[in-house]
Amino acid sequence: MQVTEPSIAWSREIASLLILLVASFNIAIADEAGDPAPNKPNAAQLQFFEERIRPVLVEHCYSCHSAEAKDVRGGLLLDSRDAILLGGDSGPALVAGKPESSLLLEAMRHESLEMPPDRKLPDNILNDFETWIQLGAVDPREGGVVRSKRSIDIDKGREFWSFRPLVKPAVPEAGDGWAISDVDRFVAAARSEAANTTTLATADEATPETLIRRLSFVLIGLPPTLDEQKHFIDAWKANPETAMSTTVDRLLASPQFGEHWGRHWMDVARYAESTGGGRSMMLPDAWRFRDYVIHSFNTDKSFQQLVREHLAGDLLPASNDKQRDEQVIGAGYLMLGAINYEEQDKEQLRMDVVDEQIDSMGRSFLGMTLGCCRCHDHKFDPIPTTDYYALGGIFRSTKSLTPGNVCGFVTTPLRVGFDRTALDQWIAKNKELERQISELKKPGREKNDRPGAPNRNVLTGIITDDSEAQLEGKWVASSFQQPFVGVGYHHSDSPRTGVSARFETQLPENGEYVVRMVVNHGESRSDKVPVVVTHADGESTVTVNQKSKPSGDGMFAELGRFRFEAAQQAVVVVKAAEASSGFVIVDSIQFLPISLLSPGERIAASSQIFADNAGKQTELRRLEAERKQHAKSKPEIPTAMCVEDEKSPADWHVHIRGEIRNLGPVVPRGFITVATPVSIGPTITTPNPSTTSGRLELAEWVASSSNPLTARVYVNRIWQHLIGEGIVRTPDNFGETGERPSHPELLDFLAATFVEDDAWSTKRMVRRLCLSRTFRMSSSSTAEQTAADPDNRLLTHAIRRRLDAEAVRDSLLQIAGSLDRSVQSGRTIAKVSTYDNEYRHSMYPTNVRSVFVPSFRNTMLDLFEVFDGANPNLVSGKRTRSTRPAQALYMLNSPFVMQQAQSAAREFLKSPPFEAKNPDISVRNAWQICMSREPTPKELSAILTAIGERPISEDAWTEVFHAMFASVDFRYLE
Amino acid sequence: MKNAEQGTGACFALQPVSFFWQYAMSPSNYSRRELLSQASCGFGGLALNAMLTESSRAADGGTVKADSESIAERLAMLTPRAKRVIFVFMQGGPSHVDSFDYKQDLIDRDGQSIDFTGVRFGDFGQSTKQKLMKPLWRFRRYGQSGKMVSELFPEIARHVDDLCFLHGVHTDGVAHGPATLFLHTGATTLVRPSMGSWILYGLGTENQSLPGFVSLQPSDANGGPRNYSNAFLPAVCQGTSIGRSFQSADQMTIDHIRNSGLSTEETQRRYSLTQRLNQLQADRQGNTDDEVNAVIRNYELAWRMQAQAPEILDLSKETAATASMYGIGEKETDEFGKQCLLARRLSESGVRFVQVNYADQSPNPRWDQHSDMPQHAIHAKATDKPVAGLLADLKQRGLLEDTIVWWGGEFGRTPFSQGSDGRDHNPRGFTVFLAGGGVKPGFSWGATDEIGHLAVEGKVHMHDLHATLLHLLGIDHESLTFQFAGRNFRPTDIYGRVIAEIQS
Repeated sequence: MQVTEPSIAWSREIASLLILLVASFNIAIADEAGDPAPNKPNAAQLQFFEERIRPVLVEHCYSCHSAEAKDVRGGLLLDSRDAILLGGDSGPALVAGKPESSLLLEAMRHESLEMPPDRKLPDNILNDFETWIQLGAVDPREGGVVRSKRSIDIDKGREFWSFRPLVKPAVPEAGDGWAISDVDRFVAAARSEAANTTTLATADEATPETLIRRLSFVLIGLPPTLDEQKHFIDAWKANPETAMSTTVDRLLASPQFGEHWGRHWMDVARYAESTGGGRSMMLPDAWRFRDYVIHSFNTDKSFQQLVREHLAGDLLPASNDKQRDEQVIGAGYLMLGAINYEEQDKEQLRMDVVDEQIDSMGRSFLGMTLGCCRCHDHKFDPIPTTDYYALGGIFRSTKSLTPGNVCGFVTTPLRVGFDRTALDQWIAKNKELERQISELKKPGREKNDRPGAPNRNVLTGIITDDSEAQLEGKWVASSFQQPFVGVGYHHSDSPRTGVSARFETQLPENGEYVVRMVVNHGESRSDKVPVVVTHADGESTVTVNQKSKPSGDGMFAELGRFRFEAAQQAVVVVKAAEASSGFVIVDSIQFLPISLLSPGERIAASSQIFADNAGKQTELRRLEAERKQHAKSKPEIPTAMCVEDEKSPADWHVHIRGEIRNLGPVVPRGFITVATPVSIGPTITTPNPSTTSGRLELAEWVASSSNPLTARVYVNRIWQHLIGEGIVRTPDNFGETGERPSHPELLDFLAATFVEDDAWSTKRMVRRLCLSRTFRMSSSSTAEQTAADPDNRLLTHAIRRRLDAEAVRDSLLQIAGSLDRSVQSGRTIAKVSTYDNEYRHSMYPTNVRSVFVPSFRNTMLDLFEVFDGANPNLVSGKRTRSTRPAQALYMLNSPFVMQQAQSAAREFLKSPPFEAKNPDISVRNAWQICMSREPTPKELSAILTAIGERPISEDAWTEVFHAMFASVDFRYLE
Repeated sequence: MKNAEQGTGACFALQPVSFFWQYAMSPSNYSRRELLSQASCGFGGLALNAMLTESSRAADGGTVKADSESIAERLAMLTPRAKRVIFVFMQGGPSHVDSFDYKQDLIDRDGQSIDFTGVRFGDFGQSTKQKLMKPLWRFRRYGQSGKMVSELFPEIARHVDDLCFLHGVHTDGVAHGPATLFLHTGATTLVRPSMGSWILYGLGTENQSLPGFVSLQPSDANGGPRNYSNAFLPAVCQGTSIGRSFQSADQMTIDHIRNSGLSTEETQRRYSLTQRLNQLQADRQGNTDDEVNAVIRNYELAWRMQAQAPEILDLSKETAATASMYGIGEKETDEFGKQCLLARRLSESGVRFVQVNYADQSPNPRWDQHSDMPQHAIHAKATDKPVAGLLADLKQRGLLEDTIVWWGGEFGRTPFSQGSDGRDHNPRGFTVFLAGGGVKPGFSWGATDEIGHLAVEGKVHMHDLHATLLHLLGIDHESLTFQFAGRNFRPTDIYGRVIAEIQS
């Protein structure tokens, strides 16, 4: 006997398997015993394969796992011996001789993977495969295609344009007579290079009225007022350069700059005030991040610092509380992703969060689509999946979630605006109130007793409670109505057939007792409840009226005075079945030994106890009310959404095919190799990675001037917002599948200048670009330009662009005189609730600037939805531009636009630019307010015709403003 | 094909659009400019125009050029069996073992304990004992096919010979939010387009004056608008909600379809002045800007929609006999009957994908009987006659032949009890039924195990169901792709099998 795998020890199991095999297969394998060549399978084994294994593979597996498959799944081929042993993405498909370690069998048994996916194959087939593998997986299928694993050549990858080290190129000598800045010389050079094939004219300079509109919208997102327009045009006539620079400086200094540019960044940071997903939870503190971003742009925080704060603000050193808080809020960036906190597989959820963080960070800062590497090496870019999980280790070592059925997210208390002393005083008072309350509740309280209910231990005599009674039939526990003893009482339920309650107790000594029962009386109760007391002298039946208040203490109804013997059970039976209609209640029965009390005291004592108790209850109620009130005055601890490091940071595994339970090798934490200079190395070594997540090191790596991506990606964003299209027109994708830069040298020049000369200052870069000739070109194009360069990649003229949704709304409000400038910070959610889907914007109308309008993932302001507001679920470096009938319907019919048109008309009619006697001038001014330009004679006459005989009518002007708002030019920037 | 290899290509992004183009128009190679120049003919054209404008700009923000040659090469036409879909969404998870998945064993073994491995937070991976609970309603046979259906759905039961039951459906997501998102978008957490958006992207739409993907009275909970969102697909693929689940069916309308503050004459005046200004502004640009022209045509279209859509939304146009088929006018069925009737009117008018929602605003939706299973009767009562009416009406109008009706929830319910009289979520085996275009009538495919817990035979994962629906509409789910964030996305991720066995 010989099996192909010599290392297998003979065992009873194998022997029995073989016996089975022999028996069922009707081939005497044993006859072949003695064949010495381990790799030469015997005929029986071959026949077994051919008859039992191969047909199954062909029928059930080859459609997805053979060279002929249309789409090979899981990288796994099962059509040759070598392929099956090599396996697919999840590793070798089988280990010869070890069924229990063979993934193939595991999958066929639907234990982990489920194959074939539509059904489990019958047990006899599974047994065949087990046998086959056990006996060495004899497989004659030689050759075949073995898929070679594609390996990524990192060194070659470094040659790709965006991974090359950033070097400032020399300014070309081009554009003489046209260029007024270095930027222009690069643009001119690109144009003259292309001129080898075509000669393209450059557009004229835009008119000053176009330029002031352009500057105003691109820098602060609002139209220039009539005065600002006039002022600029006059200044331009005196000196264009001065006019430009003073206006740019004025706008950069305006707080609205941060509001507008902050919004650009919020698109990238996928900012929202709710989580999205299934149960879209509100994020009541997200506004702090919004304010932080606006503030960062207004104070011109260096982008390098912004990166550090976004990725590791919680770990950065701070010299004071203010700085510390700001940094903590900045790290909220990592928490803003759209996450389905309701996911029940919490391991999956944890990895979903990590993936979201990696993907967003990659696209926001690096222009890399890292999400692709979750399941496999990047198909287009030189980024292996090990790089992804090197980052994965960093973010897995970062805590974002708090546990729960629907998970929560980590928050951090802030220090500024928080009065520690006040809180300490509050806590002290709260403790004192709690102490007093517990003191009052103390005597013998049991843990389930209701507050205010007397406990049995404070009552004299012997108490037996309904909780100890034998309840027959249907009784319902209740604590609905006071007074009662202990945790509550029971009331009868219908039908009352056979319903009774039996109280039994052993009294301590012989003697006479007053027997009483608690009657928490009420109209719904029965008025005739027979109660049988069994005492030393026999049985007595007493009828109790539970409708009326017991005399005396109002709680106990006296059943009578009876003699009991200690040796005998004292029994009280409430015969609910025989009671008159209404609920029957049972609570405690009290036996008051009269020997202990003088006759006058008998009742009084227990009454006193009850009265004391009532006093205590009153006091207790007062204290609890006070505590409730006090709770409301708790000094709010301001908190921010912010990640923190996990307690035990560690490296993590590769997830094969991105599957959370399919763990590959552990990779050390680190960075994207191809974007890291060889001299630095992509792995985190210091400080000790077992005590820190590595997030700080990651932040430094992203913010490093030697990172080839960060500065390039960011200056491209600035360029895009000012010029209309990026130098790279896929701003979030600088990889192979992204577009190539139209002006690579210019991009490098700007990125290097940004790092070396501008100290990562956004405002300096903005100013530089605004003061170029390129920025000042007209958007008019010639047929030749369009034909030769339809996408205007050579920038022969300015790019005509559309206002974003926020600018459309803010312009309407500003022109209507209804823009609410009083809100420039703080929480703007009118009603905070758990989920965002209850929030209807129409119920809380607001005229604040758009950046301050609550931004929920599952309920967006309709105007934003219609005009392509950023999708807060995704990193959006560039807004989509759709043209849809919904936009026309919104402009024509929405109450919001109607209202603004009316307000604008009203506002206009009372102010100087309106001249009642001169409709011509009035129309020109109104037009100028909306469009920042003169109307053409035809436009003028169209409006005048519409006004007709109604030159001072609010209705007429409402109509005019409405049409101007709805017209194309209102929404476009030349 | 060079572009495709590089992955920057229009061929990926535009191929399905051309697919629509060829499907809707006569097949030939158009350049983008030619397409645009012909785009004035109606919404189909305009939608396409917008799609081209957008997919050429918005896919990852890149500028992508239409390359008609490579488009022609990559066409993989399938013969469509259906033109449109009506999805009847039973939100919350109706119990399959109490409705369409009859299990004698479950009745026989009522009260027995079984071992169950937890799949939810709190008991994940832990083994517990659970008590089987027999169906609360009696089953009997219906139709030529002899299909067993419970008393919950006596009206739908009369149509079993037109229905194709999938009993081995299973899905991802155990809680409502994730599972509802998965049902609609094929992803529990990641942001992906809704199936209706994919279909609109692939096929465009037939009607010039109506949106192509409509969701009637959808819930804002459990993913809310994300369930009918285009995600990264062009904005024209966005689903349009008509009504919301917190409103009554009488309020079903398209946002801003009418100007409620102005007379018709005033509205007309404002529209005319706007269009006059638009035209002058276009002239001022020398009429060179495609986008400006597209805006002008969108105003024309909006104006036509304003005139025509309200008529289609107006259910009073129907006869009393038709209304009563849907249970309109009866207390329990009035609301849902109106939805179903509107669905038929929209489908008939050429809306590609209509979703009817039996939904509310709660995170625990209507069919979600964790306790008090008898409440299923209320929901069955509210939906049974309307759905049956829809099936009958589609059939009598000949619409069922090329319309797919898809009925189902985000998951089913467990065969064992939760508490004394409830059932928990069961994503691992449940029933969906289809009817109409291209599916076998009077047919059942797949099975759960003997107690109705796990799908074991003819398993159909939600991705497979998506792939199959797309296939019936003539779309190869593996070829319908859109490039975003550096890679090509398709509706079924890397999964999905077309279930050939259920096709007629």
